[in-house]
Amino acid sequence: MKTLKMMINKWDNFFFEEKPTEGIALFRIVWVGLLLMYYFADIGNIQDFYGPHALISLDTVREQFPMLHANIFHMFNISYEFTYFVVTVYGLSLALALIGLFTRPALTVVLLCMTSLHQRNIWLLSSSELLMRTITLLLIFSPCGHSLSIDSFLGNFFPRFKNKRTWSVWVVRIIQIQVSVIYLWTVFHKLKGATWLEGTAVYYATRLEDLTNFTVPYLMNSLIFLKIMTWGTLIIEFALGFFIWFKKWRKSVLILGIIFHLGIQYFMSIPFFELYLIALLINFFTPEELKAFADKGVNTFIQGIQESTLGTEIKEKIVRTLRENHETVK
Amino acid sequence: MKRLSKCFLNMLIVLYLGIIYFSGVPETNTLNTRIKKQASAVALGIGIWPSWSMFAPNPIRFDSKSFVEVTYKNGVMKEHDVEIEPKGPLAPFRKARWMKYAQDNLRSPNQKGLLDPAIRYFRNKYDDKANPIVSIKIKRKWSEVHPFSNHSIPSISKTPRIEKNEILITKTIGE
Repeated sequence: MKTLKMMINKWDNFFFEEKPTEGIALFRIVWVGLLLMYYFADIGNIQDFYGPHALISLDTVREQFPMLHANIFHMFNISYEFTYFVVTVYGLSLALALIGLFTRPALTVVLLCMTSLHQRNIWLLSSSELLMRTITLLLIFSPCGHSLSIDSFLGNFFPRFKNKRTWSVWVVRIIQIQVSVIYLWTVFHKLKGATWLEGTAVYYATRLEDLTNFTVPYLMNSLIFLKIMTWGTLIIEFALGFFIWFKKWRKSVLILGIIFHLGIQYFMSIPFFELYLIALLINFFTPEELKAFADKGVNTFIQGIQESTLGTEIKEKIVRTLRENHETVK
Repeated sequence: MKRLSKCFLNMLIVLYLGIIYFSGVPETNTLNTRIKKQASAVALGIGIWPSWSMFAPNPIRFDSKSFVEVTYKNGVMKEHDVEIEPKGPLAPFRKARWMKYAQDNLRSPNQKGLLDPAIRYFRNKYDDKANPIVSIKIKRKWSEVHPFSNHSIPSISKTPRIEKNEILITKTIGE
Protein backbone atom coordinates (compact mmCIF):
# COMPACT_ATOMS: atom_id res chain seq x y z
CA MET A 1 0.00 0.00 0.00
CA LYS A 2 2.84 2.33 0.95
CA THR A 3 4.68 1.49 -2.25
CA LEU A 4 1.56 2.13 -4.31
CA LYS A 5 1.08 5.51 -2.64
CA MET A 6 4.70 6.35 -3.26
CA MET A 7 4.36 5.37 -6.92
CA ILE A 8 1.23 7.51 -7.31
CA ASN A 9 3.07 10.44 -5.74
CA LYS A 10 6.02 9.96 -8.08
CA TRP A 11 3.71 9.77 -11.10
CA ASP A 12 1.92 12.89 -9.90
CA ASN A 13 5.13 14.75 -9.35
CA PHE A 14 6.58 13.66 -12.69
CA PHE A 15 3.58 14.63 -14.83
CA PHE A 16 1.90 17.42 -12.88
CA GLU A 17 4.70 19.44 -11.34
CA GLU A 18 4.05 23.17 -11.86
CA LYS A 19 6.71 24.85 -14.00
CA PRO A 20 7.09 28.18 -15.87
CA THR A 21 5.39 28.36 -19.29
CA GLU A 22 8.34 30.03 -21.06
CA GLY A 23 9.98 26.68 -21.78
CA ILE A 24 7.13 25.25 -23.83
CA ALA A 25 6.58 28.66 -25.47
CA LEU A 26 10.19 28.76 -26.60
CA PHE A 27 9.83 25.25 -27.98
CA ARG A 28 6.64 26.35 -29.83
CA ILE A 29 8.55 29.10 -31.61
CA VAL A 30 11.40 26.78 -32.66
CA TRP A 31 9.07 23.95 -33.66
CA VAL A 32 6.60 26.05 -35.66
CA GLY A 33 9.55 27.86 -37.27
CA LEU A 34 10.80 24.52 -38.57
CA LEU A 35 7.29 23.56 -39.70
CA LEU A 36 7.15 26.80 -41.67
CA MET A 37 10.46 25.99 -43.35
CA TYR A 38 9.09 22.59 -44.32
CA TYR A 39 5.89 24.25 -45.55
CA PHE A 40 7.79 26.54 -47.93
CA ALA A 41 9.85 23.60 -49.18
CA ASP A 42 6.72 21.57 -49.86
CA ILE A 43 4.80 24.33 -51.68
CA GLY A 44 6.60 23.52 -54.93
CA ASN A 45 5.24 19.97 -54.78
CA ILE A 46 1.52 20.76 -54.62
CA GLN A 47 0.63 19.86 -58.21
CA ASP A 48 2.69 16.67 -58.24
CA PHE A 49 1.61 15.33 -54.87
CA TYR A 50 -1.73 16.75 -53.77
CA GLY A 51 -3.75 18.14 -56.69
CA PRO A 52 -6.38 16.37 -58.80
CA HIS A 53 -3.72 15.22 -61.32
CA ALA A 54 -1.18 14.19 -58.68
CA LEU A 55 1.06 11.18 -58.80
CA ILE A 56 -1.41 9.26 -56.66
CA SER A 57 -5.12 9.83 -57.11
CA LEU A 58 -7.44 10.06 -54.12
CA ASP A 59 -9.08 6.84 -55.32
CA THR A 60 -5.75 5.04 -55.11
CA VAL A 61 -5.30 6.37 -51.56
CA ARG A 62 -8.74 5.01 -50.62
CA GLU A 63 -7.95 1.67 -52.24
CA GLN A 64 -4.43 1.23 -50.84
CA PHE A 65 -4.99 2.83 -47.43
CA PRO A 66 -8.51 1.72 -46.51
CA MET A 67 -8.24 2.24 -42.75
CA LEU A 68 -10.23 5.05 -41.19
CA HIS A 69 -7.93 8.05 -41.11
CA ALA A 70 -8.07 11.82 -40.68
CA ASN A 71 -8.04 13.44 -44.12
CA ILE A 72 -10.35 16.31 -45.10
CA PHE A 73 -9.71 15.59 -48.79
CA HIS A 74 -12.06 12.61 -48.45
CA MET A 75 -14.93 14.95 -47.55
CA PHE A 76 -14.72 17.23 -50.57
CA ASN A 77 -14.33 16.88 -54.31
CA ILE A 78 -10.67 17.26 -54.95
CA SER A 79 -9.81 20.25 -57.12
CA TYR A 80 -6.92 22.67 -57.43
CA GLU A 81 -9.04 25.34 -55.72
CA PHE A 82 -9.66 23.15 -52.69
CA THR A 83 -6.05 21.96 -52.54
CA TYR A 84 -4.73 25.53 -52.64
CA PHE A 85 -7.34 26.55 -50.07
CA VAL A 86 -6.08 23.88 -47.65
CA VAL A 87 -2.47 24.86 -48.30
CA THR A 88 -3.24 28.57 -47.74
CA VAL A 89 -5.13 27.94 -44.50
CA TYR A 90 -2.26 25.70 -43.37
CA GLY A 91 0.30 28.45 -44.03
CA LEU A 92 -1.74 31.16 -42.29
CA SER A 93 -2.32 28.96 -39.26
CA LEU A 94 1.40 28.24 -39.03
CA ALA A 95 2.12 31.98 -39.11
CA LEU A 96 -0.44 32.57 -36.33
CA ALA A 97 0.99 29.75 -34.22
CA LEU A 98 4.50 31.15 -34.67
CA ILE A 99 3.62 34.60 -33.38
CA GLY A 100 1.27 33.08 -30.82
CA LEU A 101 -2.01 34.61 -31.85
CA PHE A 102 -5.02 32.34 -31.22
CA THR A 103 -2.32 29.75 -30.64
CA ARG A 104 -4.37 26.70 -29.71
CA PRO A 105 -7.00 27.02 -32.49
CA ALA A 106 -4.19 27.80 -34.94
CA LEU A 107 -2.26 24.67 -33.94
CA THR A 108 -5.43 22.59 -34.25
CA VAL A 109 -5.96 23.82 -37.81
CA VAL A 110 -2.24 23.24 -38.53
CA LEU A 111 -2.59 19.62 -37.39
CA LEU A 112 -5.75 19.05 -39.42
CA CYS A 113 -4.26 20.47 -42.64
CA MET A 114 -0.91 18.78 -42.08
CA THR A 115 -2.43 15.36 -41.40
CA SER A 116 -4.73 15.70 -44.42
CA LEU A 117 -1.87 16.62 -46.75
CA HIS A 118 0.29 13.83 -45.35
CA GLN A 119 -2.45 11.22 -45.60
CA ARG A 120 -3.36 12.46 -49.08
CA ASN A 121 -0.17 10.71 -50.20
CA ILE A 122 1.31 8.51 -47.51
CA TRP A 123 3.98 7.11 -49.84
CA LEU A 124 6.00 10.30 -49.47
CA LEU A 125 6.20 10.17 -45.73
CA SER A 126 9.24 9.54 -43.62
CA SER A 127 10.00 9.82 -39.93
CA SER A 128 10.18 13.63 -40.27
CA GLU A 129 6.50 13.90 -41.16
CA LEU A 130 5.59 11.45 -38.42
CA LEU A 131 7.42 13.63 -35.91
CA MET A 132 5.65 16.72 -37.25
CA ARG A 133 2.21 15.22 -36.61
CA THR A 134 3.02 13.63 -33.27
CA ILE A 135 4.61 16.68 -31.70
CA THR A 136 2.08 19.17 -33.10
CA LEU A 137 -0.73 17.03 -31.67
CA LEU A 138 0.90 17.18 -28.23
CA LEU A 139 1.59 20.92 -28.45
CA ILE A 140 -2.13 21.61 -28.86
CA PHE A 141 -2.68 20.36 -25.31
CA SER A 142 0.00 22.62 -23.83
CA PRO A 143 -0.29 26.31 -22.88
CA CYS A 144 2.50 27.09 -25.38
CA GLY A 145 0.74 30.32 -26.34
CA HIS A 146 0.62 31.62 -22.77
CA SER A 147 4.06 33.12 -22.95
CA LEU A 148 6.29 34.76 -25.60
CA SER A 149 3.19 35.33 -27.71
CA ILE A 150 0.69 37.93 -28.81
CA ASP A 151 -1.95 35.98 -26.88
CA SER A 152 -0.05 36.58 -23.63
CA PHE A 153 0.32 40.28 -24.48
CA LEU A 154 -3.39 40.60 -25.22
CA GLY A 155 -4.08 38.76 -21.98
CA ASN A 156 -3.18 42.01 -20.16
CA PHE A 157 -6.18 43.72 -21.71
CA PHE A 158 -8.72 41.02 -22.57
CA PRO A 159 -9.69 38.18 -20.23
CA ARG A 160 -10.37 35.96 -23.26
CA PHE A 161 -6.62 35.69 -23.83
CA LYS A 162 -4.73 33.95 -21.07
CA ASN A 163 -1.19 34.25 -19.84
CA LYS A 164 -0.64 31.58 -17.26
CA ARG A 165 2.62 31.87 -15.35
CA THR A 166 3.02 28.18 -14.61
CA TRP A 167 1.51 24.90 -15.78
CA SER A 168 1.72 21.21 -14.99
CA VAL A 169 4.29 19.88 -17.41
CA TRP A 170 2.61 16.66 -18.54
CA VAL A 171 2.88 17.50 -22.26
CA VAL A 172 6.63 18.08 -21.97
CA ARG A 173 6.92 14.74 -20.17
CA ILE A 174 5.11 12.95 -22.98
CA ILE A 175 7.31 14.67 -25.56
CA GLN A 176 10.37 13.57 -23.57
CA ILE A 177 9.09 9.98 -23.39
CA GLN A 178 8.32 10.08 -27.13
CA VAL A 179 11.87 11.26 -27.90
CA SER A 180 13.31 8.49 -25.72
CA VAL A 181 11.15 5.92 -27.49
CA ILE A 182 12.47 7.13 -30.87
CA TYR A 183 16.10 6.59 -29.88
CA LEU A 184 15.53 3.28 -28.10
CA TRP A 185 13.36 2.01 -30.98
CA THR A 186 16.06 2.75 -33.56
CA VAL A 187 18.81 1.15 -31.43
CA PHE A 188 16.64 -1.95 -30.96
CA HIS A 189 16.08 -2.28 -34.72
CA LYS A 190 19.67 -1.39 -35.65
CA LEU A 191 20.94 -4.21 -33.45
CA LYS A 192 19.12 -6.61 -35.79
CA GLY A 193 21.19 -5.44 -38.77
CA ALA A 194 24.51 -7.05 -39.66
CA THR A 195 26.13 -3.80 -40.84
CA TRP A 196 25.54 -2.07 -37.50
CA LEU A 197 27.03 -4.98 -35.61
CA GLU A 198 30.08 -5.42 -37.84
CA GLY A 199 30.69 -1.65 -37.86
CA THR A 200 30.19 -0.84 -41.56
CA ALA A 201 26.74 0.81 -41.42
CA VAL A 202 28.13 4.38 -41.43
CA TYR A 203 30.28 3.50 -44.46
CA TYR A 204 27.15 2.62 -46.44
CA ALA A 205 24.90 5.30 -44.97
CA THR A 206 27.33 8.10 -45.82
CA ARG A 207 27.79 6.79 -49.37
CA LEU A 208 24.16 6.43 -50.41
CA GLU A 209 24.06 8.23 -53.73
CA ASP A 210 21.30 10.74 -53.00
CA LEU A 211 22.01 11.28 -49.35
CA THR A 212 25.64 12.35 -49.40
CA ASN A 213 26.39 15.86 -48.25
CA PHE A 214 29.94 16.79 -47.25
CA THR A 215 32.80 14.50 -46.37
CA VAL A 216 36.10 14.45 -44.55
CA PRO A 217 38.23 12.60 -47.14
CA TYR A 218 40.85 10.87 -45.03
CA LEU A 219 38.63 9.99 -42.07
CA MET A 220 35.70 8.73 -44.11
CA ASN A 221 38.04 6.30 -45.86
CA SER A 222 39.39 4.88 -42.64
CA LEU A 223 37.76 1.63 -41.61
CA ILE A 224 38.68 2.18 -37.96
CA PHE A 225 37.07 5.62 -37.94
CA LEU A 226 33.95 4.27 -39.68
CA LYS A 227 33.65 1.50 -37.10
CA ILE A 228 34.01 4.00 -34.26
CA MET A 229 31.29 6.14 -35.89
CA THR A 230 28.97 3.15 -36.36
CA TRP A 231 29.26 1.84 -32.83
CA GLY A 232 29.40 5.40 -31.49
CA THR A 233 26.03 6.04 -33.14
CA LEU A 234 24.53 3.10 -31.28
CA ILE A 235 26.02 4.27 -27.98
CA ILE A 236 24.93 7.90 -28.41
CA GLU A 237 21.41 6.92 -29.49
CA PHE A 238 21.09 4.62 -26.52
CA ALA A 239 22.35 7.39 -24.22
CA LEU A 240 19.80 9.80 -25.72
CA GLY A 241 17.04 7.32 -25.00
CA PHE A 242 18.16 6.20 -21.56
CA PHE A 243 20.92 8.18 -19.82
CA ILE A 244 19.26 11.49 -20.66
CA TRP A 245 16.82 10.79 -17.80
CA PHE A 246 19.57 10.94 -15.19
CA LYS A 247 20.30 14.40 -13.84
CA LYS A 248 23.99 13.63 -13.56
CA TRP A 249 24.39 12.90 -17.29
CA ARG A 250 21.57 14.99 -18.77
CA LYS A 251 23.55 18.01 -19.95
CA SER A 252 26.48 15.98 -21.29
CA VAL A 253 24.13 13.66 -23.19
CA LEU A 254 22.22 16.67 -24.56
CA ILE A 255 25.37 18.35 -25.84
CA LEU A 256 26.59 15.05 -27.29
CA GLY A 257 23.17 14.57 -28.96
CA ILE A 258 23.20 18.01 -30.55
CA ILE A 259 26.76 17.51 -31.88
CA PHE A 260 25.73 14.05 -33.11
CA HIS A 261 22.78 15.39 -35.11
CA LEU A 262 24.80 18.30 -36.49
CA GLY A 263 27.41 15.73 -37.54
CA ILE A 264 24.81 13.66 -39.39
CA GLN A 265 23.54 16.83 -41.07
CA TYR A 266 27.11 17.61 -42.18
CA PHE A 267 27.72 14.19 -43.69
CA MET A 268 24.24 13.40 -44.97
CA SER A 269 21.57 15.33 -46.77
CA ILE A 270 18.56 14.38 -44.64
CA PRO A 271 16.22 17.35 -44.72
CA PHE A 272 14.56 18.41 -41.47
CA PHE A 273 14.80 15.21 -39.44
CA GLU A 274 18.04 16.12 -37.66
CA LEU A 275 16.78 19.67 -37.10
CA TYR A 276 13.53 18.34 -35.64
CA LEU A 277 15.40 16.07 -33.26
CA ILE A 278 17.70 18.89 -32.14
CA ALA A 279 14.59 21.02 -31.52
CA LEU A 280 13.00 18.19 -29.53
CA LEU A 281 16.06 17.91 -27.32
CA ILE A 282 15.24 21.45 -26.11
CA ASN A 283 12.53 19.84 -24.01
CA PHE A 284 15.13 18.10 -21.88
CA PHE A 285 16.41 21.41 -20.55
CA THR A 286 14.43 22.24 -17.41
CA PRO A 287 11.66 24.85 -17.77
CA GLU A 288 13.68 27.03 -15.36
CA GLU A 289 16.73 26.87 -17.63
CA LEU A 290 14.58 27.72 -20.64
CA LYS A 291 12.86 30.52 -18.73
CA ALA A 292 16.24 32.08 -17.92
CA PHE A 293 17.10 31.85 -21.63
CA ALA A 294 13.75 33.44 -22.62
CA ASP A 295 14.20 36.22 -20.03
CA LYS A 296 17.59 36.98 -21.49
CA GLY A 297 16.04 37.16 -24.98
CA VAL A 298 13.26 39.50 -23.84
CA ASN A 299 15.76 41.77 -22.04
CA THR A 300 17.99 41.93 -25.12
CA PHE A 301 14.93 42.85 -27.20
CA ILE A 302 13.99 45.61 -24.74
CA GLN A 303 17.58 46.88 -24.75
CA GLY A 304 17.53 46.89 -28.57
CA ILE A 305 14.41 49.05 -28.56
CA GLN A 306 15.93 51.43 -26.02
CA GLU A 307 19.00 51.87 -28.20
CA SER A 308 16.98 52.26 -31.41
CA THR A 309 16.35 55.55 -33.23
CA LEU A 310 12.60 55.54 -32.46
CA GLY A 311 11.13 58.64 -30.76
CA THR A 312 11.62 58.75 -26.96
CA GLU A 313 7.91 58.68 -26.23
CA ILE A 314 7.21 55.70 -28.47
CA LYS A 315 10.25 53.86 -27.11
CA GLU A 316 9.14 54.39 -23.53
CA LYS A 317 5.63 53.24 -24.32
CA ILE A 318 6.81 50.03 -26.05
CA VAL A 319 9.36 49.21 -23.34
CA ARG A 320 6.82 49.84 -20.55
CA THR A 321 4.22 47.61 -22.22
CA LEU A 322 6.78 44.85 -22.85
CA ARG A 323 8.09 45.04 -19.27
CA GLU A 324 4.59 45.01 -17.82
CA ASN A 325 3.63 42.04 -19.97
CA HIS A 326 6.81 40.15 -19.12
CA GLU A 327 6.45 40.91 -15.41
CA THR A 328 2.85 39.71 -15.50
CA VAL A 329 3.88 36.49 -17.19
CA LYS A 330 6.69 36.04 -14.69
CA MET B 1 -5.69 21.57 -10.82
CA LYS B 2 -9.22 20.26 -10.46
CA ARG B 3 -9.60 16.61 -9.50
CA LEU B 4 -11.75 15.86 -12.54
CA SER B 5 -9.39 17.42 -15.05
CA LYS B 6 -6.45 15.63 -13.45
CA CYS B 7 -8.32 12.35 -13.72
CA PHE B 8 -9.03 13.07 -17.41
CA LEU B 9 -5.40 14.01 -18.05
CA ASN B 10 -4.18 10.84 -16.35
CA MET B 11 -6.44 8.81 -18.62
CA LEU B 12 -5.13 10.69 -21.66
CA ILE B 13 -1.51 10.09 -20.61
CA VAL B 14 -2.10 6.38 -20.06
CA LEU B 15 -3.95 6.12 -23.38
CA TYR B 16 -1.21 7.92 -25.30
CA LEU B 17 1.59 5.90 -23.72
CA GLY B 18 -0.44 2.73 -24.31
CA ILE B 19 -0.83 3.59 -28.00
CA ILE B 20 2.86 4.28 -28.55
CA TYR B 21 3.87 1.18 -26.62
CA PHE B 22 1.42 -1.32 -28.10
CA SER B 23 1.52 -0.03 -31.68
CA GLY B 24 5.31 -0.40 -31.67
CA VAL B 25 5.85 -3.53 -29.60
CA PRO B 26 6.66 -6.85 -31.36
CA GLU B 27 3.88 -9.44 -31.37
CA THR B 28 5.47 -11.70 -28.79
CA ASN B 29 2.37 -12.83 -26.93
CA THR B 30 -1.42 -12.94 -27.28
CA LEU B 31 -1.97 -9.77 -25.26
CA ASN B 32 0.50 -7.80 -27.38
CA THR B 33 -1.00 -9.12 -30.60
CA ARG B 34 -4.56 -8.32 -29.54
CA ILE B 35 -3.92 -4.83 -28.21
CA LYS B 36 -1.45 -4.03 -31.00
CA LYS B 37 -4.27 -4.26 -33.57
CA GLN B 38 -6.47 -1.77 -31.72
CA ALA B 39 -3.56 0.53 -30.85
CA SER B 40 -2.28 0.50 -34.43
CA ALA B 41 -5.75 1.34 -35.76
CA VAL B 42 -5.94 4.41 -33.51
CA ALA B 43 -2.33 5.39 -34.27
CA LEU B 44 -2.97 5.10 -38.02
CA GLY B 45 -6.24 7.00 -37.80
CA ILE B 46 -4.72 10.03 -36.14
CA GLY B 47 -1.43 9.73 -37.99
CA ILE B 48 1.01 8.88 -35.21
CA TRP B 49 2.02 5.32 -36.09
CA PRO B 50 5.56 4.59 -34.87
CA SER B 51 8.24 4.23 -37.52
CA TRP B 52 11.63 5.36 -36.36
CA SER B 53 13.93 3.05 -38.27
CA MET B 54 16.61 5.71 -39.06
CA PHE B 55 18.78 3.40 -41.22
CA ALA B 56 17.80 0.30 -39.27
CA PRO B 57 18.26 -2.59 -39.63
CA ASN B 58 20.67 -1.83 -42.52
CA PRO B 59 21.27 1.42 -44.42
CA ILE B 60 21.80 -0.36 -47.72
CA ARG B 61 18.12 -1.15 -48.21
CA PHE B 62 17.65 2.44 -49.40
CA ASP B 63 20.13 2.33 -52.24
CA SER B 64 17.98 1.70 -55.31
CA LYS B 65 16.46 4.11 -57.76
CA SER B 66 13.45 3.94 -60.05
CA PHE B 67 13.45 5.01 -63.67
CA VAL B 68 10.74 5.48 -66.30
CA GLU B 69 11.51 4.27 -69.82
CA VAL B 70 9.24 5.81 -72.43
CA THR B 71 9.05 4.62 -76.06
CA TYR B 72 7.48 6.96 -78.63
CA LYS B 73 5.67 6.08 -81.86
CA ASN B 74 8.72 6.98 -83.98
CA GLY B 75 10.80 4.46 -82.05
CA VAL B 76 12.70 6.97 -79.91
CA MET B 77 13.28 5.70 -76.39
CA LYS B 78 13.94 7.99 -73.40
CA GLU B 79 14.77 7.15 -69.82
CA HIS B 80 13.85 9.52 -66.98
CA ASP B 81 14.67 9.37 -63.31
CA VAL B 82 11.39 9.13 -61.36
CA GLU B 83 12.75 11.72 -58.94
CA ILE B 84 12.60 15.25 -60.29
CA GLU B 85 15.58 17.57 -59.86
CA PRO B 86 14.17 20.63 -58.13
CA LYS B 87 16.08 23.90 -58.23
CA GLY B 88 16.58 26.70 -55.71
CA PRO B 89 17.70 26.86 -52.08
CA LEU B 90 14.99 24.46 -50.89
CA ALA B 91 15.75 21.87 -53.59
CA PRO B 92 17.14 19.15 -51.26
CA PHE B 93 14.03 19.44 -49.09
CA ARG B 94 11.68 19.16 -52.09
CA LYS B 95 13.63 16.26 -53.49
CA ALA B 96 13.38 14.32 -50.24
CA ARG B 97 9.68 13.63 -50.88
CA TRP B 98 10.43 12.25 -54.37
CA MET B 99 13.20 10.10 -52.99
CA LYS B 100 10.88 8.61 -50.41
CA TYR B 101 8.30 7.83 -53.07
CA ALA B 102 10.72 6.38 -55.63
CA GLN B 103 13.34 4.69 -53.47
CA ASP B 104 11.24 3.34 -50.64
CA ASN B 105 7.83 2.76 -52.15
CA LEU B 106 7.55 2.63 -55.94
CA ARG B 107 10.40 0.12 -56.19
CA SER B 108 9.10 -2.02 -53.34
CA PRO B 109 7.56 -5.43 -54.08
CA ASN B 110 5.01 -4.68 -51.33
CA GLN B 111 3.69 -1.57 -53.08
CA LYS B 112 2.63 -2.95 -56.46
CA GLY B 113 -0.59 -0.92 -56.26
CA LEU B 114 1.44 2.22 -56.95
CA LEU B 115 2.67 1.09 -60.38
CA ASP B 116 -0.50 1.69 -62.42
CA PRO B 117 -1.06 5.20 -61.02
CA ALA B 118 2.62 5.94 -61.74
CA ILE B 119 2.19 4.82 -65.37
CA ARG B 120 -0.84 7.15 -65.71
CA TYR B 121 1.08 10.07 -64.22
CA PHE B 122 4.20 9.64 -66.33
CA ARG B 123 2.18 9.11 -69.49
CA ASN B 124 0.55 12.52 -68.93
CA LYS B 125 3.87 14.06 -68.07
CA TYR B 126 5.94 12.83 -71.01
CA ASP B 127 3.33 12.39 -73.77
CA ASP B 128 3.79 14.24 -77.04
CA LYS B 129 0.67 14.74 -79.18
CA ALA B 130 2.65 14.74 -82.43
CA ASN B 131 4.55 11.62 -81.45
CA PRO B 132 2.54 9.71 -78.84
CA ILE B 133 3.92 7.27 -76.33
CA VAL B 134 3.47 3.61 -77.29
CA SER B 135 4.93 1.96 -74.23
CA ILE B 136 6.12 2.80 -70.73
CA LYS B 137 8.29 0.77 -68.39
CA ILE B 138 9.16 1.41 -64.76
CA LYS B 139 12.51 -0.06 -63.80
CA ARG B 140 14.45 -0.49 -60.60
CA LYS B 141 18.23 -0.19 -60.52
CA TRP B 142 20.61 -0.58 -57.62
CA SER B 143 23.32 2.01 -57.16
CA GLU B 144 26.88 0.83 -56.54
CA VAL B 145 28.54 2.14 -53.40
CA HIS B 146 30.74 4.98 -54.56
CA PRO B 147 33.89 5.91 -52.73
CA PHE B 148 34.56 9.33 -51.31
CA SER B 149 37.52 10.98 -53.01
CA ASN B 150 39.54 8.39 -54.98
CA HIS B 151 39.65 5.80 -52.25
CA SER B 152 37.29 3.09 -51.25
CA ILE B 153 37.72 0.37 -48.70
CA PRO B 154 38.31 -2.82 -50.73
CA SER B 155 36.72 -5.15 -48.21
CA ILE B 156 33.36 -3.35 -48.36
CA SER B 157 33.26 -1.73 -51.77
CA LYS B 158 30.56 -3.99 -53.25
CA THR B 159 26.93 -3.05 -52.68
CA PRO B 160 24.97 -5.85 -51.03
CA ARG B 161 21.69 -5.95 -52.90
CA ILE B 162 18.40 -6.96 -51.40
CA GLU B 163 16.48 -6.99 -54.68
CA LYS B 164 17.41 -7.48 -58.34
CA ASN B 165 17.61 -4.81 -60.99
CA GLU B 166 14.38 -5.41 -62.85
CA ILE B 167 11.52 -4.04 -64.86
CA LEU B 168 8.68 -3.55 -62.40
CA ILE B 169 5.92 -2.97 -64.95
CA THR B 170 5.58 -2.60 -68.73
CA LYS B 171 2.48 -1.00 -70.20
CA THR B 172 1.73 -0.83 -73.91
CA ILE B 173 -0.49 2.17 -74.52
CA GLY B 174 -3.81 1.25 -76.06
CA GLU B 175 -3.87 -2.07 -74.22
